[in-house]
Amino acid sequence: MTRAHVPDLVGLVARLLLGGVLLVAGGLKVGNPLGSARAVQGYDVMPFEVAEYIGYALPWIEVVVGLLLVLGLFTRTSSLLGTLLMVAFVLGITQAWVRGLTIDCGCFGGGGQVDANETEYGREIARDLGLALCGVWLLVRPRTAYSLDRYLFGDAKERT
Amino acid sequence: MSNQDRKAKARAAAPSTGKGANAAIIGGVVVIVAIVLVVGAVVVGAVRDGGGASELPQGVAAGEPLEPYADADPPKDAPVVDVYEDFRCPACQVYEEYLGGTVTELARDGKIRLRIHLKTVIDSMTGGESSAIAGSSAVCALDQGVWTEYHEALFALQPESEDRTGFAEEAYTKAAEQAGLSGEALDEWQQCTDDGTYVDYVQGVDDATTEDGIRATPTVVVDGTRFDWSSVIDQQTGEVDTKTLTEILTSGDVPEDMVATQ
Repeated sequence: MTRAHVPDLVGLVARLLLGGVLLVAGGLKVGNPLGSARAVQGYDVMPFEVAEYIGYALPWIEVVVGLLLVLGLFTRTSSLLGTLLMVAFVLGITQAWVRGLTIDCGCFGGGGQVDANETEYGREIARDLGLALCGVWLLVRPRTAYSLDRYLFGDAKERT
Repeated sequence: MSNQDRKAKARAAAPSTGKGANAAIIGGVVVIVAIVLVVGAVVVGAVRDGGGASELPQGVAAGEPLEPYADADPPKDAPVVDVYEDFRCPACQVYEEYLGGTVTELARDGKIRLRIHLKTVIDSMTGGESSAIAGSSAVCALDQGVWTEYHEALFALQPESEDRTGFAEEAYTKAAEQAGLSGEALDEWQQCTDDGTYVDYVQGVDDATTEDGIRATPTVVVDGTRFDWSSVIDQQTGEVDTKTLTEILTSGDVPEDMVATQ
């Protein structure tokens, strides 16, 4: 294998998109655990204290998964985690929309209550669905161009 | 390439392929375990335990508000006025500047039961703990009997911009001196503030009030009804309708057009 096939390049783009967004989103939030906790609590889906812990953990999970995806390391595992995150976000935002909550998704910091005319649920859901699709592509076909997986494990990784 | 060569090559390749597959699966599991461990450690570290001295204000339970003017001994049926505020929030400074004096006076006279909930809304926006530390320092001032003066002085020293740093360390001491603390009392207050004695308490109040649905500051609740406090300020002249304000607070009845919607 000396030349990247088109599907490998599609995989590379999917990896960089999903991984890059996760890395940035997590990175913007790691310095403010309280803000992240409040953002998660704003969705009002979990017990208050559980949401607090999820809020503390989420930025770090995003950073680690994002980094693995950008590097192309353990692509199938990390894309599974990335996809699950996106699905969870879509569900969370959708329920907020359906219940008439007026919150910022807090995806890149921020979060919490906003005015009713400031919500951007549609756009946020579309973005996260797109990223989830990137994840699904990688889940089905984790072989991508310029990945650490291939560098470290060779082509064998393709079959796992 | 002869047939035999091909077979030999296939044999040589097969085991390594199997190893690769195992390595990837094991690697995946290792990655998940590593993520769980790292994130777990970070979360344990992030939990707001403040560290150092952690105390509750005298006679106040965790998550409960302060009653700086409990000594005025308001009658049992006095209206309860709940104020939710953050020393770093600009709108709180406006509230304090325009209405603070009247509210304080009514509380001092025992006409209302004033309950102060110190929140950390700006901390949750900027990161850091400046709002919580500022709140803690105010409780330290309450311990020294200069709540009113310190409260006013610290609000006046509010940092211009909302950032992670928040109040400069010197601002607290300056406010304490302006509040009239000196000598031993000032030392005690300083120690109390430096220890972050009530940081945990303030953060606990923010948790409790947020869970109760009070997310923004300043919020003023009169006998259970949210009061749109800005409605008693004339938007043109900036004059406060003190008469109406006093009537609302002392009766506990918020007119319908002055109920805050949120």
